[in-house]
Amino acid sequence: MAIAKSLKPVRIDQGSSAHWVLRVIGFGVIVYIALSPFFRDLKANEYGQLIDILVYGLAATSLNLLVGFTGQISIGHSAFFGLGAYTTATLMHNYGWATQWTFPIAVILCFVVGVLVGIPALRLTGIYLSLVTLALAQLFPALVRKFDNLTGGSRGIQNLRFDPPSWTGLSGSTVDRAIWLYAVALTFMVIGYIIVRNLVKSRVGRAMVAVRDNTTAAAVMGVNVAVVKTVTFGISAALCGLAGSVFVLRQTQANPDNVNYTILGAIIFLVIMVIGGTASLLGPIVGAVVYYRVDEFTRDLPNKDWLPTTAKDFLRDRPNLATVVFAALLILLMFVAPFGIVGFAKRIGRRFVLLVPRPPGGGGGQQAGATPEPVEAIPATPLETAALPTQGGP
Amino acid sequence: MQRFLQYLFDGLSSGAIYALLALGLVIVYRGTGHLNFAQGEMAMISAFMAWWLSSHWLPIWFAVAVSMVFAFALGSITEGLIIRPIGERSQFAVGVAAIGLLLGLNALAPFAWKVTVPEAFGSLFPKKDTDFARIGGATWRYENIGILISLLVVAGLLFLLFQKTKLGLAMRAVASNAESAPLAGIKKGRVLMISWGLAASVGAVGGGMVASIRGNVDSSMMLAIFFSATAAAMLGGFDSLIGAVVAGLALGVLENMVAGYFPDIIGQELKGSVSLLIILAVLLFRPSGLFGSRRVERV
Repeated sequence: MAIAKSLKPVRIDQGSSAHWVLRVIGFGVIVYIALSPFFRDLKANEYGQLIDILVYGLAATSLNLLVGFTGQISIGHSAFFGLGAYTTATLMHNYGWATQWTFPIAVILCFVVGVLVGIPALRLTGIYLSLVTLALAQLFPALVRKFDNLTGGSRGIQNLRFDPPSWTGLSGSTVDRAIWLYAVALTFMVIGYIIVRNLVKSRVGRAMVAVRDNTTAAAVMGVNVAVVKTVTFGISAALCGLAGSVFVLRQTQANPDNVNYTILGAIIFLVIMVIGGTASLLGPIVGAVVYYRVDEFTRDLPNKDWLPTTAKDFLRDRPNLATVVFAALLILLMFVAPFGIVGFAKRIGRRFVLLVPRPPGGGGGQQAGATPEPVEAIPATPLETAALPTQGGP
Repeated sequence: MQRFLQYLFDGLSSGAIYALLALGLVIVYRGTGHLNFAQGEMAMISAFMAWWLSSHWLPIWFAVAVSMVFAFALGSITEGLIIRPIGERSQFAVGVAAIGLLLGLNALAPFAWKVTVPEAFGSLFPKKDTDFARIGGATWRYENIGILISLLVVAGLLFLLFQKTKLGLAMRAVASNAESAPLAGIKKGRVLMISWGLAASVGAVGGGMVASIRGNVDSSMMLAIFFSATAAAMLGGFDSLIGAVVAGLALGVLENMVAGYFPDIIGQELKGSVSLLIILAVLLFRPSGLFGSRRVERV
């Protein structure tokens, strides 16, 4: 550690060839990780786990757009997730739609509902907004049960099959369907990521961050706060609905008892996002991977050899270890790294590599004497800057 | 008339439970300005504590009393070890931590007690089929009356605490001006810990009542109730104790009336929508609630 501190970090100019090399390497690693499952001979349930990671990643990404970048807290995204899931399930089951055409409908429906929720949310901040969204999450499973002629009520909808089209060369076997669904989930994850990235790195994204950090100042600077807030809500809801659509296909059935459609699901999305890194683009995906690995690890824990027998006996037959660990991890993270795993990694990385942004107004190199600002385009997360406005401080 | 009275009686008891949890929310909010998302789950885990004690050694009432002490410790430790240190860094992180507590406590109870199915919980009040009073043709069960009385006793004790004791004075001082209170010699940290403990304790009464009515304890038993309680706290105006009691009772009655008179449109399934509408209506027309103090925000 002492060596690391005495070392001066390597400076790399943004847009220089070294920066491009780093970018290409990083991109290559991600592409390799994302595509390698196609070439490995995995079992159907292993593909299923990867699909789950992508679904959670997409849901958390959608939430990140809203919470991380725009500063609107939602504990109700399970409702949009469920709405997307039930749109796909109902259209397929009741109306015999081809699966691929249900996705755009789910997206549009969730967008519209998201905007509608966003309108009353305009007047709300902090805990009040979280209460309204909490109400949504609470209401959704009840609505599903109520309109049982459409949704199948508590019985749910079974046997949702999404067969790969013939051009893929995949058969209708369980493994091949899993591979196909993984491809679909990956495509949606990439689309969702690109949408969020392009939004955030554009003029709109700067408007969002301005709304998050100081709504009044943003309005004064000419940002149309109402439009930014409602449209962000809509896009976020739409992406979350898309994640739900994939999830219901992965489950092959829709059931109102599924935890992801309840308030606990909304909380899990939020926790995944925060653990990965609020207001960081890769954070939600990292969070989803961590969530899944923790889940897997704790489930196997009572069978591990290196654990003393007393600990094994203690853990045997106890439910929910994963969630307990995950919640403890979250609270611990709020102490040591409120900016999440990605934020933490960035902080460590800055000790070694310093990315010097291009000064505005063209010109490649670094200006003499200018203090470099080694940051991403989007600065500090809301964890470091914004307070809940309900505090009512000056 | 008989139907009306029946819905009123049933509504008053569920309203009393909302009010108990809402009281806890208000006590915390007055102290630190936080919405304690874990309020319901703290009550749930206290109910598990009471169940565990009663299934081993203790008579049920005594077990609930011990669970209140447990809840007090849980609440004050939460404030001291988690909420305050995180709050010094960022308010957003406090919200996240409280949501994490909700998730964690919800999972912890089944984990700690190794239960996967609802476990039978004894009754705090006479619960035989014949235990009811008949008023105007409607039946008012003794357990519903008991819950209402419990709420009134708790609210009365809280009133005495806040108005007549030195501790209550200190709590009111912190609520009205958190910066200046320490200057007057009030140990703010201790007051906040006590506030959180007290809130969890009041919630534990609610948890015990819910378990008693249901006849069992289950990790999901407080989720929907917590949601209605937040609506009640909001309707009452987040910083008013009397508001929490009145709004909690009103919300419980309203929910039951709506569910009872419109069984096809609303029914038992969509009872929760009443809370949503109440929340929206309060936010649109009277953001400070019925009894709350208006907040002025400086820019």
